[in-house]
Amino acid sequence: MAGKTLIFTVCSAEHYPFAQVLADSLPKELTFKIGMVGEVATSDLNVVQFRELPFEVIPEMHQRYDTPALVAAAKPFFASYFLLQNGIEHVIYFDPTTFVFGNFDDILQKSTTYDIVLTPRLTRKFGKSTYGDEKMFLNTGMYDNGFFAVRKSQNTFRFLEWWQQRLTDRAYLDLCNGMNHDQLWLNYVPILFENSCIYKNIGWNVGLQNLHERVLTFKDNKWVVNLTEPLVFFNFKECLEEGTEVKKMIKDSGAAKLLSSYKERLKQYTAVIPPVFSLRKSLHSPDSAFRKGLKDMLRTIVDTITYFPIYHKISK
Amino acid sequence: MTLAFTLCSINYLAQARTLGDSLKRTNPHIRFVIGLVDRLDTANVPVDKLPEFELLELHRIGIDGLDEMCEHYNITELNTAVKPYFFKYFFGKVPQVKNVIYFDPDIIVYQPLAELEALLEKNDFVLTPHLATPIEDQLTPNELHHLNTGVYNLGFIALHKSPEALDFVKWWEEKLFDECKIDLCNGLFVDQHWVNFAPVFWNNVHVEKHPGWNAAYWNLHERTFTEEEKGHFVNGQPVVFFHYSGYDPAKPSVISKYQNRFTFEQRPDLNPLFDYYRDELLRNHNAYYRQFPCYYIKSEPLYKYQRIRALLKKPFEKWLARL
Repeated sequence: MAGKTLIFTVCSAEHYPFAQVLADSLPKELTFKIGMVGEVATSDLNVVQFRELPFEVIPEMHQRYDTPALVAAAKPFFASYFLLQNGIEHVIYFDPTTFVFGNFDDILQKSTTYDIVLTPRLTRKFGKSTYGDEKMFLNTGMYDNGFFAVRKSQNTFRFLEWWQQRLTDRAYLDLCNGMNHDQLWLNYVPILFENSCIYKNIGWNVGLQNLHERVLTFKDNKWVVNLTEPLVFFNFKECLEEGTEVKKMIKDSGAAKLLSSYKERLKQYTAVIPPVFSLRKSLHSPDSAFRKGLKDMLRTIVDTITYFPIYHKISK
Repeated sequence: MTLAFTLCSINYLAQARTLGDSLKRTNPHIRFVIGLVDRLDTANVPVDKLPEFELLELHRIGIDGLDEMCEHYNITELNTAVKPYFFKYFFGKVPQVKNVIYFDPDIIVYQPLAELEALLEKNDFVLTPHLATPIEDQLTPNELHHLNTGVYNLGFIALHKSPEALDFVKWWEEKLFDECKIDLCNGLFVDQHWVNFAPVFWNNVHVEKHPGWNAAYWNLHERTFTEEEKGHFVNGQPVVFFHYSGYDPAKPSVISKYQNRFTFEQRPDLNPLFDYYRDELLRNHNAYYRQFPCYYIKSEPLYKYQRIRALLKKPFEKWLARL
């Protein structure tokens, strides 16, 4: 089974160190490839350039998108490219900021059982947490773009082509128009494609967006989630943001040590941790208090003029 | 026992009656209730214009904070926000109820719902998606629209009385008390978008993709209709229920005011279904009911001196845009 499985990530040159750490966490017998968006100085034979893939639309995508959108949009192109390689039956994608802690067998087993495997970004209702509230997930996506596994089949290629076509020109971050890079499109997967699995294991794809429902403890030399499930993989993407709120979320969930040891590993490859796109950060505007106050004041003036009470009442 | 209900104000009673008539014909064993988001006592509807179906007025189901809800919702928002409250009422107050089905008033049920009732034996939720196959064009509505407003259509939802379903109803009530708004940039689209969470937070959710279920303007691209001796068919299967969303019998040439993909000229296969619906609505006094304003909706103020207001606002809006 191992020989038939290929694992890949997609990143920009700046984020190459993350991909190197991810590689260190994977079982050595599995093939690992790095999809690269942009030029990187490396002799690593596992690096595959996005612009060299055999798809006509790639140059126009380079013109169209900024780096976070392009990296996101490249995923299904790499996935079908790798899935078409000789002897490959299963392809698994991880975000470069992921680290695999647990037993890989469970992941392999799921990827051989279903055509498409996704993970939900969270699994339980919660109302409101420091990360955000429930409605924030509605227009950003129910299923996480940091992980997917696909099995070679006609159905899977239909899915990948469908995703590619949409990400060619609709991979912007534009929540008001139903777009959040590659992620929001995944809402359609269980509806439009057969034989897909939304796997709700709380040890999979742990990240800032679900830390409010997961407590991590180190027990018998292993990380365990909510005292029951072994930690299988953790995506540090949004955890890398500096700031007291994020620090508190990590500390409260017991993941502080996990994060600091991850950062230690990164230091082997880079002196400075490069900034990572954080959805949460981009939604919580980084306005200063003064700017915010000024905006609120201007809005109040506009509203006062709009609704100054000279009116008559009408029934529709 | 299976109970089906719809929700509307008096202005939509022709639709609700048409739905009720269709259920009575096809599923006489199902108890049908019209949840009325309105008050009969103030509207003075004459007795001969009252539907023969059970009417349950909103103020009788005991919602805490109903006044507050009416205060901040318009007629569409209020009609959708009270949906879980009615579910809770039926599950809690109607003895022997096992399944509760919600249908939008602008639906006609054409077939027995035996398959749905069988599904509810094994599942706690039954939902229908807007689409079962991709849409390749970018006319309205396309795949992006449903990403903003919800992938399941909430003109239909069926629940089996179970701890999972009751837990969902309670959560949905809390959400819709003050967040049943249309605010796409913040992820809100009335009651519908919230239901994207159903298969994530709960289990035993069945998503039915049969082309005859909840066929409507948003999935015409994948469904072709025929009229045969035995009734209406779609892609060779019986039409179980059709959802005439956005159709107005006063504008019979428009399939739906919310879509621009098809006309009746391009889709003559739709004529029998819509001709029948128009006749049914006219027979059920559509024009008469349409004139009633909803009791719960306060008259809206019309602000005078719009031009002067716009002029005064201009510099502040410019400043805001630059920030």
